[in-house]
Amino acid sequence: MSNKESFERIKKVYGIDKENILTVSKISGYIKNKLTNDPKLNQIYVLGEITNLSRPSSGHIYFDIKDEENLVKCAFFKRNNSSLSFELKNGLQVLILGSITTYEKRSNYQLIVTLILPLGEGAFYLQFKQLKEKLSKEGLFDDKYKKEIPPIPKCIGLITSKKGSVIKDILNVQKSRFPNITIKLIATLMQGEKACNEVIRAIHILNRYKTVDTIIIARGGGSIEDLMCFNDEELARTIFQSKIPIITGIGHETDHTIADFVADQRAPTPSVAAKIAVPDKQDLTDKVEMVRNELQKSYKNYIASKHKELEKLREKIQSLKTELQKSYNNFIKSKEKDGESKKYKRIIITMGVIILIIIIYFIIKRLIGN
Amino acid sequence: MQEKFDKNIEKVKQIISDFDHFKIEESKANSKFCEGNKVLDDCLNILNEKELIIEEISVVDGKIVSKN
Repeated sequence: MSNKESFERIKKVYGIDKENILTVSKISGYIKNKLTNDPKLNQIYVLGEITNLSRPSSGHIYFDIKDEENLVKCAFFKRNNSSLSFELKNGLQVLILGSITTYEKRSNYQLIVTLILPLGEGAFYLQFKQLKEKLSKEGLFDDKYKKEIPPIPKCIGLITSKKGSVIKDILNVQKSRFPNITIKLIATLMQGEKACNEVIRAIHILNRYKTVDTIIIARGGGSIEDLMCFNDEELARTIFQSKIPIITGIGHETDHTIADFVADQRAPTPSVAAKIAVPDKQDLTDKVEMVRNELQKSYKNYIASKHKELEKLREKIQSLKTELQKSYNNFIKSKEKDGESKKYKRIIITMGVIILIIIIYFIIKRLIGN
Repeated sequence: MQEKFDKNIEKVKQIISDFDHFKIEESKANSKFCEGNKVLDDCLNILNEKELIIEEISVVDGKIVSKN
């Protein structure tokens, strides 16, 4: 039966006019219209504890926000929750910005969430911890991605506040260690809402300079809130993507920000950051002199060794000369000996022949005489 | 700057190694020694080649401007 037929039947049976009857959709639409147009229910902050949290595959997040007595259903749609910088958990105290509307199909009213801020004592810490875990899982802190800091930089890009002692400390370190390195300074805010974007922009600008080969981001100590801008996800990703190696010197030794973890090198203070970036010129000069001494020593050793070789050759020649003389003498002696023995032989032979002739003479004489 | 410095130091180290292993002839030794010293002088020149410059950069109307 269509609506039209129904209205006609009602009119006949009960005598009620069509104009006095509302459909389900009409009343739902009316309620929705009432709620969405009420300024007291639009873009309001609601404080409470998260419960019944669910994350379906659609990417939307659904949960209830409750206090001691009541609860309100909340929907945190994908388009809004993609920038959430911490993980939602049941039991977490939060401050929610959103607007009340209805889900007409179920006649439920719900808070459409635009933004969630964690609360409680550890709110900042929680946000920090969760972002740290997220970026760590993505590998943004891995050593393999850390760029090498050049031992002798051509030009240092310095991002810091123009006011305060930090810039003075850095320049003092630089002047005392290596006074002839160029510094390109970009003065930025180092705390507050705008600081993060200014630092991001400064990193992008310095990356356009071919001469800049080291960047220092420096800030003095402060409260956790003062340093919060260095726990920003976009800043962390900008530091990670920088082609120029970045050294952070943020706060004091005990302060650790997300920027420190993602930086190519973290220094405990701004002055130490400057020391890491700027080599000590005297050390390098000493190195040159050390190599020069080494060169001189090697050269002297080389010459000395060649002299030794020469001396050995000279000794060898001398000994060969002596040996030659000796051999010659022996040779002469042996020759002389040879000559004498031949002479004796000759005498003996001659004497033998004479004796033989005499014997033959006496034999012939006896034969003739007989 | 750093690359040139390191290259020079390496060059001299090679000369030193040649001396240590007597790979060169004596006649070349003198000129090698002079060359090594010259390269080290270049290293010192690299360390002194320019004065300190502090340039402040800012962005005005979307353009990068140097304040020096």
